[in-house]
Amino acid sequence: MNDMMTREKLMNSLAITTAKGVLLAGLLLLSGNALAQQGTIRLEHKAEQWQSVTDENGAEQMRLVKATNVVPGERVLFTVTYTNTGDQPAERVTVTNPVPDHMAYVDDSATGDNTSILFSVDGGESFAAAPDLRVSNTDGTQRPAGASDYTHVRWIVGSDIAPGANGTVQFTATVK
Amino acid sequence: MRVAMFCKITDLFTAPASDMKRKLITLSIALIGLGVTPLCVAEGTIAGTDIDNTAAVSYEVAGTPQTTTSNTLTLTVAEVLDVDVTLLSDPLSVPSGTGPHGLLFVVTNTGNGTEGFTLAINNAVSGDDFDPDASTPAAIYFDTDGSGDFSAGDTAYVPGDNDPVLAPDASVDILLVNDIPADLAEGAIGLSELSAIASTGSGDPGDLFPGDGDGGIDAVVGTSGANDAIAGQYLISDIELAVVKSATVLDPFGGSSPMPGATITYRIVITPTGSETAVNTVITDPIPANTTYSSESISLNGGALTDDDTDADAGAYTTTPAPEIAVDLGDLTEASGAQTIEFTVTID
Repeated sequence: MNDMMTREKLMNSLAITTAKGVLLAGLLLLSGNALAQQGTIRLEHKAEQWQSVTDENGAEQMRLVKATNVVPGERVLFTVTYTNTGDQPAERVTVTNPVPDHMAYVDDSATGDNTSILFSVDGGESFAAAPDLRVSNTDGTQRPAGASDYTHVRWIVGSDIAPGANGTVQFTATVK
Repeated sequence: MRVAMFCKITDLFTAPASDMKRKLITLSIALIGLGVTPLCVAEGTIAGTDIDNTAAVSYEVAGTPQTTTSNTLTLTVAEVLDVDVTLLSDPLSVPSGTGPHGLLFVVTNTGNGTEGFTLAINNAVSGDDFDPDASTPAAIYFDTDGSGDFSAGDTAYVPGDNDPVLAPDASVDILLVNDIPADLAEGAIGLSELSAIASTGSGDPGDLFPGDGDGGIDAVVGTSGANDAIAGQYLISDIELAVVKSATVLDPFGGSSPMPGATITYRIVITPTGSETAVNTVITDPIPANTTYSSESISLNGGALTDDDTDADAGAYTTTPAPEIAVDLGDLTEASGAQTIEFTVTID
C-alpha cells in the first residue's frame, strides 16, 4: 500500500510539473506501463479484428479475435475500458484515443454509453463535435472534415464514476 | 492490323533472386483471420509497419486532476501477397512455320511487401486452334532492352535463379517466346499464357504463411490468390511484319550522350514477308516518358508527314490518353518492301 501511495504521489507530481497532458502521456510511457497503470482509474485497451469461422452447421460466422497482424484495408475495433479502482468518485472523466498512424477512422464508429463524443483534426490540439470540424484545403479554403481527417477521438463521460464502477468506449479504424 | 511499339528510356530495376533462400511453400494452412476481404490497395501500408496506440484518461478525484494512460497496443502490418499479370501485346499476326515470336506482358507486385515471383508458360490453353511451341532453351525472357519485342539483348528467365523480385507496386516486362507450328490454316488462333506466383506462397485469399513475410512477419494471401495468369494470342496469317527499332542520340555538344536537351531520332523499319496482305496496318509508338516529341518530325521512307490526325496524310501525333505517334501504312504485302518511319524527341 505504501508503495502504491508513493507511486500515486510521483504521478501527481508529474502531472503538476507538466502542463500538457500530451507531454505527460509521453513521460508516463517512458516511465513504463507499470507506473502508468497505477492511477485511480485503470485503463484496459484492446484491439480486435473480425475472423470468419464455420460453425457446426457449416454456416459462416463472424467473430472478434485479438488483433496482432493486420493488412491494408482491414478494420480494427479498439476498445478502452475504464475502471475506478479508488475509493472516491472520479469526476469529469475524459478518455482520449489517437487514431493510430497508418489508419483511418471509420465514420460513425465511435460509441460509448453516457458519453458525448468529440473529434480532433489537428493532432489533439482542439476537439469539437463532428459537424463543427473544418479542415483547410491546399488552396487555403476550408471544407467540412471527413472521417479520414480525424486524428483523435474523445469521449466525455456524462456522470461521475463511482468507486468500483467501469465503462467502455469503442471506435473502429481501417488500415491504410 | 495494329502494331504497337513500346520504348523506354529507363528499364525497371529487376534483382535476381538467386540468393533468396526462400522456398516455395505449398502447404495450405487453414486460416486464422481476415473474414473481411483484404483490399489490396496500391500504396497500402508497407509490410512490417508497426501501428502503436495508447489511450489516455483525465479525471478529477476530490478536485485533484489526474491522468492515466493505457497499455500500448502494437499491431504489425502483415505482408499481403498479391500479383497482377497484364497482356500488353495486341494479337500477333504470324505466318505458319516461323519463329521465334514474342508476346509482351507486364508483371506487377500489387502486394505491400518486397516479393519474388515464379513465372511459368502454359501453351495448353483451351479455346484456341493450336498450341504454340515454346522456344528452347528458354521461352520466358525479361524485356531487358525495353524494346517490347524479343531481341538479342533480352535476358532469359531461369526459374529459381533469376526470379524477379519486385518492391510494392513495381513491375517488370516479360516476353513469352514461341515458335509457330507448320501447316496451320489461315486465321487459326493459338494462345500462350504467362503465370506469376508469389515465391512466399499462394492459395485462397486470407491463407496465412506465419513468419514467411518480409523480415519474418506473417504473410497473407491477398485477393489475387498471389497467383495471376493471362494468355496472349497468335493469329496465323501468311504475312509477317518484322519490326526493328533503333535510336540515334545527338547531344547539344555534338556527341551522342543521352542528357537533357539531347535529341533522340527513332527509326522503325517494318519489313513484310509472306504471301498474304497485312490490311490497314497502323504503326503506333508512345513518346517515352521524360522526353518531348519534336513537332512535325515524323517521316515515312524519307518523306515528311504532318502531325495532324485529321488530314489525309498517313502521319499523326496525338496526346490523348498519352503522347504517341502513329503512321497509317495501309495494306502491306511482301512486294511493298521495307517501310522506314522516323521521328525525333528531345530529352527533358
